Amino acid sequence: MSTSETSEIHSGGRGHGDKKNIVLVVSAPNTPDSKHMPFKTDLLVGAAADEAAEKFGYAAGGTPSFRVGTNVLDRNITLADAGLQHKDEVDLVSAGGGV
Amino acid sequence: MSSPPSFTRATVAAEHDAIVAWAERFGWTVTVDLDALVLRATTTHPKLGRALEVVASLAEYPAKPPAWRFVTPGTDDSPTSAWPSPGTMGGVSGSIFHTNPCICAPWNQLAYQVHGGPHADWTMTSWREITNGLTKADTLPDMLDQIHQHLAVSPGMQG
Repeated sequence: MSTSETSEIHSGGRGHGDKKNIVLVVSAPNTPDSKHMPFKTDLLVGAAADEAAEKFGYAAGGTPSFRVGTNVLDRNITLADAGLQHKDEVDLVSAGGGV
Repeated sequence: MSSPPSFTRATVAAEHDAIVAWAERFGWTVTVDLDALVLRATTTHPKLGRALEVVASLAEYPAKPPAWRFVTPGTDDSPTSAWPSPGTMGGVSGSIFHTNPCICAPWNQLAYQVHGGPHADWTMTSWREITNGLTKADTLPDMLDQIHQHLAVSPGMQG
């Protein structure tokens, strides 16, 4: 699957971002191709996911988050605290629950 | 408000590439019958290794959400034993697998009371606007992804 690059701030491999900025490779269900997206590592997961959701064309009003493997990240922690590193691959998902 | 079949087919066709890409990424098999307006998706239960099939009737989509239900694979029968049990995961408030049984989400027509579901408080024609921290999925691949996500923590089957 190909990827589209909306922005690139570092050319190194995974883990080569600086301490404050990383690029995440984000996939979303509504779009076949992933996107490379730059974020500051002190940004909350929820805020970063909101940004990504807008770029993928999702309507506002949901509770998007990132999923790594099967782990849905807490929207209220920073990308750094979530352990995300430069070039990590994440899925953009709804973190809303059922009832 | 309703969607004529031609509009439904055009909407589903527009989502087809994303459905295919999603299915390849997560190892599901998904088929869409545009004549019958039915989607069938198969996978295995991650804990049990047992085959699962979920079916969506797409009539009137997207004016109304699809009608999603788990079935005995290869059939249209939907006994309780075909349904995965709810699990819990960090970062998500509750499972979409309701024990009545039902996929309890605004994007499932069968969650609305008029179709036998538990929700009299949701308006079906505004299904994409129902939020309040609930699961949100505005396209078919997003719905499949939500099922996949909740299935990942399902401890077993309901029956």
